[in-house]
Amino acid sequence: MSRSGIFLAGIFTVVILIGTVSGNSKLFKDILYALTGLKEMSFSSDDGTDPDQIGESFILSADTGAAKQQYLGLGTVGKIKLIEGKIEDTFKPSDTVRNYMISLNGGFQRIICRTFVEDSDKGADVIKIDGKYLARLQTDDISGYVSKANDLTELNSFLSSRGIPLVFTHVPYKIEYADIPIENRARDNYRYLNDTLIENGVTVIDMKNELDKTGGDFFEMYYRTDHHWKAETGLWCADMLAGYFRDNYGFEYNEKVLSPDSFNFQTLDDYFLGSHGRRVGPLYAGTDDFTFITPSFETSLETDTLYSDGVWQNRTGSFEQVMLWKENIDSIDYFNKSPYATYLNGDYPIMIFKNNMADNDRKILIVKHSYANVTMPYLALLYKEITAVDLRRRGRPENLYEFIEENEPDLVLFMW
Amino acid sequence: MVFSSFVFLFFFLPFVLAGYYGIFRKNRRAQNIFLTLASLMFYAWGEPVFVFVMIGSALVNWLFGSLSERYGDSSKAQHMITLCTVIVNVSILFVFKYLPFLVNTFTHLQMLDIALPIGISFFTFQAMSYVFDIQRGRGRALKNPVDAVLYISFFPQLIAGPIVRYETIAEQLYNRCETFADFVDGTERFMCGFIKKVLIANNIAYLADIAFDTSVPSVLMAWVGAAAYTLQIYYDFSAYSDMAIGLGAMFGFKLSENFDYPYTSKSVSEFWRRWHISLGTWFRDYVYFPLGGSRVETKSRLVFNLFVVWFLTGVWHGANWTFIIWGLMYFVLIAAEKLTGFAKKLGAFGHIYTMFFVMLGWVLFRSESIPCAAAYISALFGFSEKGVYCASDIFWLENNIVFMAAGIIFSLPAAKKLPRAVQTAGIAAGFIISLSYIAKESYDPFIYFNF
Repeated sequence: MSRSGIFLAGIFTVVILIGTVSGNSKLFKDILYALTGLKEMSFSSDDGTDPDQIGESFILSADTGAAKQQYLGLGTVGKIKLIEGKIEDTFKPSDTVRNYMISLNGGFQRIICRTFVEDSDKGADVIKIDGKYLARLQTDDISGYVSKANDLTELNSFLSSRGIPLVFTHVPYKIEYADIPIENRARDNYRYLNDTLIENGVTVIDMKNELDKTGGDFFEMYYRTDHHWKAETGLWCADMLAGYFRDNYGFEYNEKVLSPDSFNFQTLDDYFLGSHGRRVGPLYAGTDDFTFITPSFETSLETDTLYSDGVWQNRTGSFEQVMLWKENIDSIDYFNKSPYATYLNGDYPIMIFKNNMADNDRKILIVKHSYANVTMPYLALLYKEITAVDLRRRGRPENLYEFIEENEPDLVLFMW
Repeated sequence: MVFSSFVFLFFFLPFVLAGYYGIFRKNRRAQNIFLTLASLMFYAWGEPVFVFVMIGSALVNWLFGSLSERYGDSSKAQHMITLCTVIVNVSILFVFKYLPFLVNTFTHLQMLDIALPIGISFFTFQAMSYVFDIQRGRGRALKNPVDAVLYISFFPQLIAGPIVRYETIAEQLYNRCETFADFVDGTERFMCGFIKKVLIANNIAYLADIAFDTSVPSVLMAWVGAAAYTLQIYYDFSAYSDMAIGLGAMFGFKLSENFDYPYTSKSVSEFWRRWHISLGTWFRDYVYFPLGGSRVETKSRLVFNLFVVWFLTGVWHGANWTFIIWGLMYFVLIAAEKLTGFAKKLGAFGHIYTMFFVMLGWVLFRSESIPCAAAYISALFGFSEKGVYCASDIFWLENNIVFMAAGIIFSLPAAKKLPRAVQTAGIAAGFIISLSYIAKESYDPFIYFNF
């Protein structure tokens, strides 16, 4: 036995003590709450998935949605395994400790010059492009995109028969245009989708093409540590789409409204650790600045947002009051706050934007993913009403066809 | 429950240590009962049904051991007991591990795989060792069946070895001495095993999986994958043994070494004296020597003895032709070495010869089937539709070069030559970084749990 051996045993003991005290006090509290009925013990497995994230089909089937385990229906072995699972979850490190550990791990990965960091969730492996941009290597196979193409083609026929234009645009992921020597399914899948839709007569805006026309660096239009594009790019996209709608469908608008000169840009330095960054920590590839953009002219807007629990919330006022949720940027918290959610506070099944100062009666329905969150607020400055639907969220319309018929939009935009 | 998990580190281990050195410290019998219950809980965690298979196996073998001691003077009775021991234990293995394979291979019936109790090959062999060592007079039969259950189910080595021979543990069940020095050494050993498993084995596993999960890798990737798996299996398995030995030391048990830098071997025979030592010596003492070993009159008998041992070694590892061919490959090599002595004449090239066949063997071991192994081996020797290499091969190799280099360096006795201060700092830093991987809930398979 040497002093160094005692030193190592000391480190081991300290680590075990910290983990034991922390984990067992949590376990004791959980058991106490469960026994006294102070807090109902959750019997569903905590696997970190969002229970409000559901399938994205245009028409919901009866069994769509996350299945919930019925504890009383389980046999003895099932109950034992469930309890074991709950105990294991209790001993997972607290968010604070876990986040420090992720940062430490990311720093280690950087020191040993790794450009690919594996994750237990294979769909969340992080790849570093050109030494600084983080992306996710997608693992989806093409079958999902085949059905998306079919669904959109069918919807296009339905809308055409009612005289409603359908416009599809895919906002590219960074990974699609990364020069990496390994299999890149994202690029193949989305190219298939775009090409197939064009072949089937669906109107497609090639977003990458449009981005390239600006002459800017594609990767710089996105956050380095997040999969989303920047708010500045979202503003540009709104202007580009407005121009497209004017040129192709006669949706006139005042070009000065979306000119960058009409806005105030406020930048918060090193404020944002994006979705990819949170998997590897801020030491691996740094953090992003976050810019939010507000009109320097008067606005009067209203939003009605349907939450996944069925409750509607209304906001009325200026652009800043309605579109921005500044609690997401009131302090730096890399792992628990997402500055991107400053815009609209995230994704909801249905959002309705109304512009009380619009000089037209245009209604647009947008079927969206989260990229649209930094574009829709600016489009809302141009048109009377925009209805945004996120088909991935619980509470979404059960039948998109019926929803469109009820809403009677002048145009349907898919922004995926 | 695995050693490299938070529930083990922060729930199970502290609970067992607290009970062992706290409440029950003054009563050895109580300590043993407590350890037995804790070990059963350890096994039952995730295997709530199969724990009864293990308890049943332990009790049946305890009974055989007791009968063996009672009828020690009757050679006929001893033969019967040996026969029953082998039949019962092999039957347990047969039903859970080999029956579906045999039915699906040799009949036109299709049988679904039966869920395999974790560590069944280890605890079954350990149970047989209990009876055999009593028969040989290398240990007294345990009066209390709980002690037999403790011997077989002791949690540090229950699931992936080392296979603890009864003769090495018999005295320690009641006459062990827990010292602070052993506890300290045990924690250091555990930490080293933890680092080997989480930091090296788990990361190299990704590289191996990329090579082996491709239908046909390029030549370069085939070699990289073979090297990666060679390192992965060593670090995975030896890490578990390190942690088992370290944990045993924390409770005053001295468990035998299971690995002795096997990749420094200059012959295949030497390799098997350094790799999975507890399994090799088990087959040597309970199969090879009773058959006559090397001290037989004819070469054909020697060859037969070697064939039996290596066939059984392959079969022990799994119910697949790949394991059988793997075992028989070693039979051919070891028989050739023993009969011709050629390995001794190779000098330094012996190392290259040994590692070549060891890596080839691991390709067989890792492959899902003989055709998969054949395709992979063809790629090793240049027959790959993907050519010599692809750009992606360089990408994956560059991304994992540090782990591969560390794996190669520390598979040699290099770490021992470092100054003690450097070793200490490395272990401390490695342990904390390994914890960060667990916290990230990274990829964490234990290969030898399948045996």
